[in-house]
Amino acid sequence: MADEAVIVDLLGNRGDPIDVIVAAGTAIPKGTLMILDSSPQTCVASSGASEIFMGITSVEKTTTDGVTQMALITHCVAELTCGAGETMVLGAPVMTGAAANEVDVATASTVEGRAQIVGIAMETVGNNGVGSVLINVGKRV
Amino acid sequence: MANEATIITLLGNQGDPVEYTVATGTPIPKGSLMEFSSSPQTVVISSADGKFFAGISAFEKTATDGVVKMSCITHCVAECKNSGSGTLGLPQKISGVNTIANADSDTVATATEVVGIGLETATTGTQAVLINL
Repeated sequence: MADEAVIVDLLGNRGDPIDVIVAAGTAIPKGTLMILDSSPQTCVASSGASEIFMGITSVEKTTTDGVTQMALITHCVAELTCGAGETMVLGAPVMTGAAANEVDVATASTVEGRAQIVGIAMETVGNNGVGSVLINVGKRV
Repeated sequence: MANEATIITLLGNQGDPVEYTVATGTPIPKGSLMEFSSSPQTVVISSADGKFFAGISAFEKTATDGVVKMSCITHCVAECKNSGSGTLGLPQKISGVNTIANADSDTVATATEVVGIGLETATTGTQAVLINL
C-alpha cells in the first residue's frame, strides 16, 4: 500500500478509537484510511471515491496474525495525500479519493451523505501533495 | 417506556455529556433518546420525525425525585431501536419514541435532526449507531 496517513494530533479521548471487524487474512498497514464495507461494523481499506469513511488504523495488521478486530482513530488531525489532479482547499471538506488512502475534494452529494466526509482540509494542497485534515467521524454539523 | 438505547462505547470525554433542563414531574428512563422541546436548552423524550436530537439520557429520572437537570451523552456508539430498515453507513433520524429510521435528504440538510451514522444494517431491530453531536 502507499500514501498511508500520518496522525499528527490525537483529539478527544486519545483519538476516540472505535473497534471494527476486519478480514483475518488481509494485511492492513498502520495509517490506512478505512471504510464501512458490510454489516455489522465491518471495515476494509479505502479504494475508491465517495465511500463511507470510518477512521484510520492505529496499528499494523499482517495476513497471518489472526487479528479480526481493529481500533480505528476517529478524532484527530492527520496528514493525508491529495489525489492526482485534485486540490484540497483550506476549510473545505474532503472525501475518500479514487486511489487508496488519498482524499479528493468533497462534492455536494458527498457532503449531504455526511458519512462520506473524511474531514476538513486545514491547508490548501494540490495534486498528490500532503496536507493536514481535521477528522471527526460522524460529526453531524 | 420501551426501546431505550444501550450505550456500547463512550467516546470523547466520558461520552461528552451535556446538561439539559427537563420537566420535574416527568419520568425519563436511562437510555432515552432526547429531543429539544423549548428554549433554553430544554429536552423531552423523542416523539416523532423532524425533531432535533439532543443526546441519550445518562441516568434514570422518576416523576417524584425533583430532578430538573439531566446529563445526556452526545458522543458514543449505541444500540438503538430502528423502526424500519436501517442501512449501513446512512445517517439516522428520530422516527418516534426511542426509535430511529434512515434519514431523508431534508433531515440531513437540517443536520441537527441526525441522530448518528448506522454502523450496521437492521430490519425493525436494534442498530449500532455512531453518535457525535
